[in-house]
Amino acid sequence: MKTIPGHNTVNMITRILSAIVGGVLLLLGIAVFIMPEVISTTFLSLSTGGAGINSLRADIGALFLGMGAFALFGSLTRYRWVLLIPAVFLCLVVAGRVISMVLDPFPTNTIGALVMEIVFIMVLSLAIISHAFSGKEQTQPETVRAFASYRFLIVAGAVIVLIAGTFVFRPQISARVWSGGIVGRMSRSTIEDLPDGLHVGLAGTGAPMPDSQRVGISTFVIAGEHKFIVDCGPGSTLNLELMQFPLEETTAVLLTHFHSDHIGDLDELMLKIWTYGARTEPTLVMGPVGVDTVVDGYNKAFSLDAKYRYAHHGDAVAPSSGAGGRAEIIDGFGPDESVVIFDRDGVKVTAFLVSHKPVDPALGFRFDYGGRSVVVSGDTLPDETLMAQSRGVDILVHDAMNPDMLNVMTRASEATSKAVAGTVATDIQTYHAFVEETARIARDADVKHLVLNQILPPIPASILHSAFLGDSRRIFDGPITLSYDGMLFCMPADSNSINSQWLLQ
Amino acid sequence: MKSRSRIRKTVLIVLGIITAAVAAFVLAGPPVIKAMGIHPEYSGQRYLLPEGKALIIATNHDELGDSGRKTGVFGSELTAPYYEFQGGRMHVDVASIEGGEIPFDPASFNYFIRSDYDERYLEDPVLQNKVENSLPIGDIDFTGYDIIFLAGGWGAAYDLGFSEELGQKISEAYAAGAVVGGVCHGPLGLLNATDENGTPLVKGRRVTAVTDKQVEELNITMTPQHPENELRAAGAHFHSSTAFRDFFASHVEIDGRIVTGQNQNDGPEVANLMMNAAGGSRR
Repeated sequence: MKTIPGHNTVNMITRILSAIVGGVLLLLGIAVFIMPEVISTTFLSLSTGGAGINSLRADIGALFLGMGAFALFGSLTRYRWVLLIPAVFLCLVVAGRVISMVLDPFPTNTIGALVMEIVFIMVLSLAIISHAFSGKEQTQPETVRAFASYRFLIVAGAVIVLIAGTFVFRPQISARVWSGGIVGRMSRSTIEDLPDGLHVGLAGTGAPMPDSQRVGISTFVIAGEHKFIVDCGPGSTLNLELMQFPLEETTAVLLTHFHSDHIGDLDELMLKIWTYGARTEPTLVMGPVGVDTVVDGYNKAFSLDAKYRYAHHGDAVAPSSGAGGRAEIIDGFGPDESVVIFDRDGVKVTAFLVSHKPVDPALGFRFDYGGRSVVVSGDTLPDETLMAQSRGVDILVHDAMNPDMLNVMTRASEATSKAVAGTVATDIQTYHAFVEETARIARDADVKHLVLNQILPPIPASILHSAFLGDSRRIFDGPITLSYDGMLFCMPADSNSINSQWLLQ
Repeated sequence: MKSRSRIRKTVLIVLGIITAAVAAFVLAGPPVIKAMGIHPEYSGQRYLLPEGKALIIATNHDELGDSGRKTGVFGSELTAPYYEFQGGRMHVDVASIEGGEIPFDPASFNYFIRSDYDERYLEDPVLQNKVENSLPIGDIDFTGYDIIFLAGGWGAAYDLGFSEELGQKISEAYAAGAVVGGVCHGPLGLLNATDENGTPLVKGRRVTAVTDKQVEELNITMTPQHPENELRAAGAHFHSSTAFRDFFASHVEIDGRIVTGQNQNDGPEVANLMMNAAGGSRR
């Protein structure tokens, strides 16, 4: 007389399900092996350098492959107890997740993964139980007996109770552990809590080609007490707000050049800087020759808006004198094609000329504070001045395009007779850096961390990251980050660490 | 009964071994040949010459004597400089002595030896079109170019070194400040050119090209000109490298604005050194 869990059908179903679990785990392992880039993005961790990819492939890959192999072995042979191995590993994975959930302020992304792992554990356990009840094996192997021993069961039970308890009481525990700190954290912005140092945020990382994950280019730099916004591409002001960048404390808006994808949100940005802080002085906008034309134009176009704002809110929000912007031309470049445009409170900002012809002049910026440094390239071909300015910097934010991918677009455009799109995809290659060139610059200039923005062409899925990077990792062995809107890189003063966070996920 | 199954088993094993050997040969062939020296990956410094113009000149001749064997330009000697110049953001034109279609040496795109540049070419209708409708050199003002690159291949032995017009035009370009050069049989095109003083361009200059040894090794001696022989006769300082077969050797010579490469392996390096000589910046 067979019990229900020991019934042949149940046995078969649980067996098939565990085989599926094994297959999924194995596929994940293979995926880690062949495209660690993608896995690093899908698993919501930032991409890393050669060493990071190496351990990702080795450690995570081995974990998944091992779990998959044992799950398949256990379900396809009569040694069902082997399923215990992936089950135990999955329990540890769940434990790790739960601990993270308690400690990490942004846990929601991983709920799906957690649920999936719990389902996997249940499937594997059912298969083992069903097999045990089916009576096919008269004597249980040593291992199963060991797992069934009282001592082990008591310890396992205690661990499970501990994990479950932590999970159930995690609000109370976290509140206790952080002694109310977490509430403060949620209401305060991450940016306000940054330690003294140099910090770089990516409010927009896209290019004029439509990209559902990236708005127009904009990068902010916090250097000690001073806050700069480099470029303001379409849509970037909203991202600055979502990242809780304190707009009202902006020292200056710096423009690299006057392509629409770098200045298209200047109106909105100046309005927000003005009204967030009820500022009485116009926003300082610095840029190459021509910046006055741009700022005057925006001022004029939005002079009516400024009047309405004042009429509605008055001096408490929108004092008339603070509306719009005040242009300051960056000029007087030295023989090394650079000029210091800001030098106060230990913060030094250097503007330098880059190659973006026919846009001339076009600028890049270097920021120095507290022994840390960052260069923002603006739009440029590989440039000797930029290379000299980037020597030894902690972070180089460089525009990057993949010509091969663009050429495919050109051909596709010709095939679909979208001639203009094809011509644009070809033309833009003559004034942007190729991704592998940025890797060579980072290598030759001894940059610590390379961040690529203005991703061209737009990458529809993270699965294409490796293809986009091409041979870059073979050229530059430091970390390369393919940027997304919302990334923040924190560099505490007088240290070597670069911590990254993702503020818009 | 038992012996038959044993035979079947043996046959299966042998078939399996043969399949594995063929697969290994096909998969390992290209990297092994690359490692031996054919089309080595270029990992040197690359250069940038935005707004610059480059002209690649190749042969129109498509037959090895009256042997009936087809020839032409060797693929990578045209595709490698083309894509390196394009990577340097230059505008690149393709020309030939008479214009029209440029024939390729049939060995060019052989699976085992073709380069990455050749693979790009095979999927690039733009360059294919430029090769099928190459510009006749007579229609071109060479002084508008920063770089003149002479592609080789056995076909070039029949026309580059015999064209007075090519010599004249290269002389004009050189006088206007262009960087000139080429690889393999391409430098034959320099024979009829002169410098600003009217002396033969290659006289007393360091150059390289296909060696007489390579001509012997490949047993293609019927062509009317052999680069090493002709360049030495013209008073050039000829330098080269050797390998157990010179086909596998790599060698580049720079002498002012003349940059030459020994054979098909040197296209990428020669192209980049030409951009450097023309005032390019690092990329």
